[in-house]
Amino acid sequence: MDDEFELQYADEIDALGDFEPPEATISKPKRSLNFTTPSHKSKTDKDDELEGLVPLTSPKDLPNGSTLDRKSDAGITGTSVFGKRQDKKRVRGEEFANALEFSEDERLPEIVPESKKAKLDTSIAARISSEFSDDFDDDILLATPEVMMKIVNTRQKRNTQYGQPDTIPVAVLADYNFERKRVHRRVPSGDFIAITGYEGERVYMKLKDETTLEKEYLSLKKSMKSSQLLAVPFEELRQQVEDERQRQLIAESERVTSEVHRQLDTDLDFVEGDERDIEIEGLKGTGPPALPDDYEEQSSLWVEKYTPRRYTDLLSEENINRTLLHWLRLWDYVVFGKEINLKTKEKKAVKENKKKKFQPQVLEELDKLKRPLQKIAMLSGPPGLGKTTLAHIVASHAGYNVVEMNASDDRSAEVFKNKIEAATQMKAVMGNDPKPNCLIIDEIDGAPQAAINVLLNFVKKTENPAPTKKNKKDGAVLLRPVICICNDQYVPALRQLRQNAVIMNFPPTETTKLAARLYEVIRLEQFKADMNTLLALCEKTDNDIRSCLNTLQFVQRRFKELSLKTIQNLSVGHKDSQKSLFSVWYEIFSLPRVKRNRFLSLRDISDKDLQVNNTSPTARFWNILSVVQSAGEYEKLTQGLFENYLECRFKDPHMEGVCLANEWLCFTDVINQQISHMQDYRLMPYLPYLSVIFHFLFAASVPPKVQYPHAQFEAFTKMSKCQNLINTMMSDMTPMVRKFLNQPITLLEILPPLTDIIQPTFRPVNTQLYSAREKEDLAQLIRIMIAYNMTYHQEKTADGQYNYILDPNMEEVVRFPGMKQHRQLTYAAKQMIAREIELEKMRRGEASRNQHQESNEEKLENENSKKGLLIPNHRQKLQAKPIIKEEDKPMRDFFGRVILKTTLDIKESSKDFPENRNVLKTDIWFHFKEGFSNAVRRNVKVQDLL
Amino acid sequence: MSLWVDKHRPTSLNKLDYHKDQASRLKMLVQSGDFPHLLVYGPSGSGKKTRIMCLLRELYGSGVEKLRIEQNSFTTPSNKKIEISTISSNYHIEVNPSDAGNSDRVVIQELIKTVAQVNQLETSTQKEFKVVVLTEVDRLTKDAQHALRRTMEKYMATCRLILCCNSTSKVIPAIHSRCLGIRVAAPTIEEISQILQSTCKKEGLNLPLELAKKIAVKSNRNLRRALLMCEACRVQQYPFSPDQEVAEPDWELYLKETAGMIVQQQSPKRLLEVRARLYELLTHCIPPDVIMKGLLQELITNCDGQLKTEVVQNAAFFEHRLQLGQKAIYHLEAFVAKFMAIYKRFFEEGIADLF
Repeated sequence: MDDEFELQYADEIDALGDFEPPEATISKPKRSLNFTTPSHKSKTDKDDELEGLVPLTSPKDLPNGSTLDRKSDAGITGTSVFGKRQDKKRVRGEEFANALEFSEDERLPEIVPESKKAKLDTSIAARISSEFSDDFDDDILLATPEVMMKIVNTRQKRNTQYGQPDTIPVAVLADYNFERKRVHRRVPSGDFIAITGYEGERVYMKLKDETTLEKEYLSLKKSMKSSQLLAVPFEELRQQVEDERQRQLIAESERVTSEVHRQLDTDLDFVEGDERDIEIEGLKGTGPPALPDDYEEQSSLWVEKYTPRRYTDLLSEENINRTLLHWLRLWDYVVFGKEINLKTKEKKAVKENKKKKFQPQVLEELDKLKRPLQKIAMLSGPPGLGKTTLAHIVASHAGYNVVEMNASDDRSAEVFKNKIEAATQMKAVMGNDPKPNCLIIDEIDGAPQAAINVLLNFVKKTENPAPTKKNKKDGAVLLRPVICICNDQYVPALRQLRQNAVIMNFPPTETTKLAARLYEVIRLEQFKADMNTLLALCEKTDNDIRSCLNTLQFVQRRFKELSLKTIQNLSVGHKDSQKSLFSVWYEIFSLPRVKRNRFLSLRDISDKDLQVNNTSPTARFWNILSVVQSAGEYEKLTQGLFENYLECRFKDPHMEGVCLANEWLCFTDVINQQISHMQDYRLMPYLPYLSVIFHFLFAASVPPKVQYPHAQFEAFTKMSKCQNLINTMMSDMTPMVRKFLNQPITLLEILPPLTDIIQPTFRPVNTQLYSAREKEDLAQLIRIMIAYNMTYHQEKTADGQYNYILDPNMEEVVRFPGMKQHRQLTYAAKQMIAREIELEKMRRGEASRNQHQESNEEKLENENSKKGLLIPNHRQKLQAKPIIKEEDKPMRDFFGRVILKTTLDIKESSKDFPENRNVLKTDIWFHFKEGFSNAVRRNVKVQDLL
Repeated sequence: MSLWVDKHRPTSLNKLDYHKDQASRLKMLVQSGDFPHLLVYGPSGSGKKTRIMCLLRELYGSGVEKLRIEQNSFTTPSNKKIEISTISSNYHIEVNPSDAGNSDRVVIQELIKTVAQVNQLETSTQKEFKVVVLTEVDRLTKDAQHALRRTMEKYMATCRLILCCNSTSKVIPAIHSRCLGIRVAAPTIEEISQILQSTCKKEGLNLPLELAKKIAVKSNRNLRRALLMCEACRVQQYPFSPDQEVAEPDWELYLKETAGMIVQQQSPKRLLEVRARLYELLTHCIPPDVIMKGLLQELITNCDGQLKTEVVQNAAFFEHRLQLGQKAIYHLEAFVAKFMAIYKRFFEEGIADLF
C-alpha cells in the first residue's frame, strides 16, 4: 500500500522536497539546538494545564514532538501523536500510521550522531507535510486537533527541557515496540488483520513489511543532509583545530630535536626514522581533503610536505589535468545531479547506497542520464610524474571523497569485487563529509587478470536492470567515476580495460617547470642551489618529481649547498629504469649522437671530470653496460644480437670483427652453460660485456631494423619434433633390431638408405598376379617395415586429396630442402603395402596366440595320448560316472586314532549296506544330463579367413 | 630378419667374418670359466654389438636371443621421474644410460643394483653371473662414471659389465683399468667388399666386385652403412651394374653443399646463409659434432698444406668449446667465421704475392 502511495505521489514528494531546502536552512540554527520552532513554544504555554498528562505518555513517543514544527501541518501531525497516545487503539487513517512510522524509524539509528538527528527531524516534517497536503480532506481526520496540539506541545516543551531527543534512556529504547500495528476502519489493501475494537466496531490492522519500512527510513535520511549550516559540525571543527595544533606542537618539538640530532650526530637514518613516525601520525589525523589554503601538513618528508594541495598547484601538463577534470565533470549529472534539482540528486545518490534502487525515479534518471561513454579514466606514465597526486586532487576538487586502492591491498578477484562495490555503491554514513566516492585504483598494471575482469564486467554492465524486481542482487551499475593509474598501459591484462577507458598518457614534466618548483621548495627550506644545478638534477632523474625531491632532501641533510658536482657524483638520484629489449638492441647497434653536458657553469668547465662527452669510448662503454645491465634478460638479448648482427653495416674486410664477435658468443654460451649446470651465479656479471663488444664492433649511425629473435626457438621446436618422431619409431621396433641401434646411428646411418629401400618398384597389378620373386620382394618389404615399426597411413592434404604418408613420418627427418628428389611409391602401391602390413601384423598376432594354444594343446595331447584317442568335442558323450563303492574308511577320532568299533556296530552296518544298493536297482531314478550344442559355436582361426 | 644388416648378422663367434683371431680369444675367455668386465670400443659400424651378442650367446646359449623391451622408471633424489627402456633377456640386460641425460648416475646405480642383487637361478647349468651391457659409455657424465667404478667392484660376484663405446677418450682411467679393453677396429675395404659379395650371394644376387669396392669406400669403412647402401642399390636397380650410382645420405650431401658455399665466398652475408643451413641440419637432429667434422673434412680438401694445420687447429678448438657449451649454433658459426677469415686472408695474401 505504502509502495503504491509512494509511486502515486512520487512527483509531488519530489516537488515538495525541492521546496524544502531553503526553509530548512532558515530554521536550522534553532532546531539544531532545541528541535522546536518558536511558534510551537508559544502554543505550549497556552496548554499548560495539560502538562499533567505528560507522565502518562510513555517516553518513547517523545521524539514525535520534535517533528511538529510545520506551520500549517502542525495540527494534523498532532493528531497522529494523539492517536498514538491512545495506545494505538484509536481508529486512524493509514496516513497517520505512516506519519507514526517515521517517528518509529527515527529511533532506529540511535548511533547516528546528533547532527544527523537534527536533519532527520526536518525531513520527517517535510515528509508528513507532503503526504498530508494530498489527503487533507480525508474524512477520517479527527475532530480534536486542538487537544492533540496541546498534548503534543506539552511534550515538546518537555523535550526542550530534556535537551535533545538523543538523551532518551537506552532502556526505553529496548522495550520500544517496533512492531506497532496500524489500525484501519476500512479494509486496507495488502495484508491486514481484522479485530474488534473496544466499542465493538470492526477495525483492521495493516501489516507492513520490513522493506517498505526501510525504504521510508532511507528517504528520510536523504533530506537530512541539507539541514545543516556548516558542512562539518562545529564540534568537529574545533576538534580538528585542536588536533592540528597538537600535531604542530609535536612536529615542532620533533623538528627541534632532529635539528639537535643533526648537529650532534651525522647519522642520518636515525633521525629520518623518527621523522617518518611523526609523519605517519600526522597522516592519521588529517581531516577532510578540503583543507584551508594555508594548511600545510607538518610531515618532514619533502615529498609529502610539498605535495600539491590544490588544483592550481599541479605540476603535470595542463591539458591532462583539464581532461581529467572534464571527464570527472561529466559524471556530475549522475552523481550530483544538475544545479537546479540538487536536492533530488542527492536524494537519489543516497538511495543508491542501499541495494534497492529500482524506484522509478532512479530508473528514469538512469535512462535520461548520460554517464560518460568511457567509464574509466586511465592515467599512465612512468613513476614520479604525479599521476596519483593528480587523481587525488582532481577528484577532491570535483567534490568527491577519494577511495584509493593500490597494490598494497589484497587484489584477488573476490576482494577486488567487494571493494569496488563498496566504494562505488556505499557511502559513509558515519563520516562527517557526505561527499560521494570516487574510486582510484592505483598501480592497476600489477593486478591479476581476474581482478581486472571483475572491474571490466562491472564497468560494462551498462544496461540498468529492468524495473522488475527479479534481478535485485546483481543490480550493481557503475555510478561513480573510477580512475585507474598504471605505469605500463600495455600490460596484457589491461588490454580490454583500455577499450573502455579514457587513456591519458603522462608526458614527462617540463624540466623548467619542475626546476622552478624545486627552487621554490629549496627557498622555503633555506637551502642553497642555483637553477642550473636544479636543471641538472631534473635531467638526471628523468624529470621524476618524487626522485628530485627525495634527492634534494637527502643532500640537504649532508651539505649546506647543492653544487653541480655533487649532483653528478651522486649515485642517489639515478633511476633504475628498465628499457624494452628493442630499445636496448637499438642502442647497442647505433652510435650515440653527440650530446654535450648542458648544465655546465663556467666555473665547472675547467673541471675535467664533468666534461664527459658521450661519444668517447669510455662513455659508450659505460652507457651500454649500464643499459644492458638494467635490461637483464641476457639470454634473449644475446639471441637478438646473434640474429641481427650480420645485418649491420660495418666495415670488416677480413672478417676479424665477426670472428671476435663469434668468439664472444661462444664464451657467453660456455658461461651460460656453467651457470645453469653448476648454479654458479658468480659468473653472471661477465655476461653483459658481450653487448659492449657488439656495440663497438657493429654500431652504426643508421642501425638495422632489429628483428625479434625466434630462429632458435623455431629450431628447437623442429628439432624436438624430429626427435619425437625417431623416438616413436624406435620405441616399437623389434627387440632384435632395436638392440643394435641407438638414436644417432638410426638417424645417420639407417634411415637415409632405409627410406630408399622401402620404396621398391612394384608392378601396378593385383598382388595375386605377382610372380614368386615379386611376392618374395613384397614380403621382404613388409617384414622390414614391421621390424622398423613403420607403416603408411592415409591423410588428407590441404587441397582435399588423400595421400598415404609414412607413419612415423621419417621422410620429414631424413629429407633436406633443395636436395635431389627421391623416388616415391604410387598411391596404390602404398595403399597395398599398408594393407599388407596390417594383414601381416594380424597373422603374427594370431601365430603367437596359436603358439600359446599349441603349447597348451600339446600338453593336453600328451595327457590324452596316455589315455587314448581324443574324441572331437561334438562327438563326445556323457558317460555316467561309475559309482564305486567307497571303501570303508576306518573311523578316526579327533586325534586321528582309529576307533575300534564294537562287534555290535559291525553287525548293524552290514545290515544297512544292502538296502543302500537297492536304491540304484529301482525302476525309476533321476540323472542330470548336461547338454551341449555345436550349432552355434565353432572355433574359426583368422588364418582360415586370410 | 628383415634388412640385410639384421638378417645376415653373425650369431656366434665362429661365424664372424673378420677379426677372427680376436673372436677365438674371446671364445677361450668364455671357456676358461671366469670372465672380467669388458670395455668394447671401436668406430661405429665395426661390429661391436654383434660381438657382444655373440659373446653372450657363447656364455648362455640361444636363450639370450629371446629379447624383450622393458620400460624402467627411476626416481632421482630430487624426485624427478626418469623413464628409460632396457632390452633384456633372462641372462643379461642392456641399457643406454645416457638416455637419462644428466641423471644417468641414478640409472646406473639403481639398475646394476637390482640386477646384481638377484642371483642366477640355475647356477648348475649356467654361469653364476649376469651381464649388464652399457652402451654409449663415452656419453656418460663424469658423475655416473665415478658411480660406476665402485659398483663394478662391489657386485663382481653376481654381475659382469660389458661397456660399449666409440672411443675411450671420454672414459675415465679408473674404469678403463677395471675392464679388459677390446678394440674392434673397422673392417678394411677388402673385408667389407667381401662381406657384401657373400651377403649378395646368400640373397641370390650377383654383386660385381667394382660396385662392392665402390660401396665399401663410400661407407667410410662402416659395415652397417655398406650393407644398407648395398641394399638400397639393389632396390634402385637390379641387376647391378659396376658403375651404378651409390646414394649417399641427404644430410651428407647437404653438408657438402654448405661447405662448398663457405669456400665460394666469404662475407657476413654468406655467413648468414650458412647459418640458415646449419640450423636446418641441427633441426634434423644431426649431432653438432658430426656437422663440425663433416664441415672440416670438406673444407680441408680446399686448403693448402700450411693452411690445413691452422684450420684443423681451429676446428679442434671450437669443437672443444662446442662440448662445453649449450647452443651448438654459436660454435658452428664461430668456426665457419674463423675459417672464412683464415681463407680470405690466405687468398688475399696469395693475390698480393702475385703482383
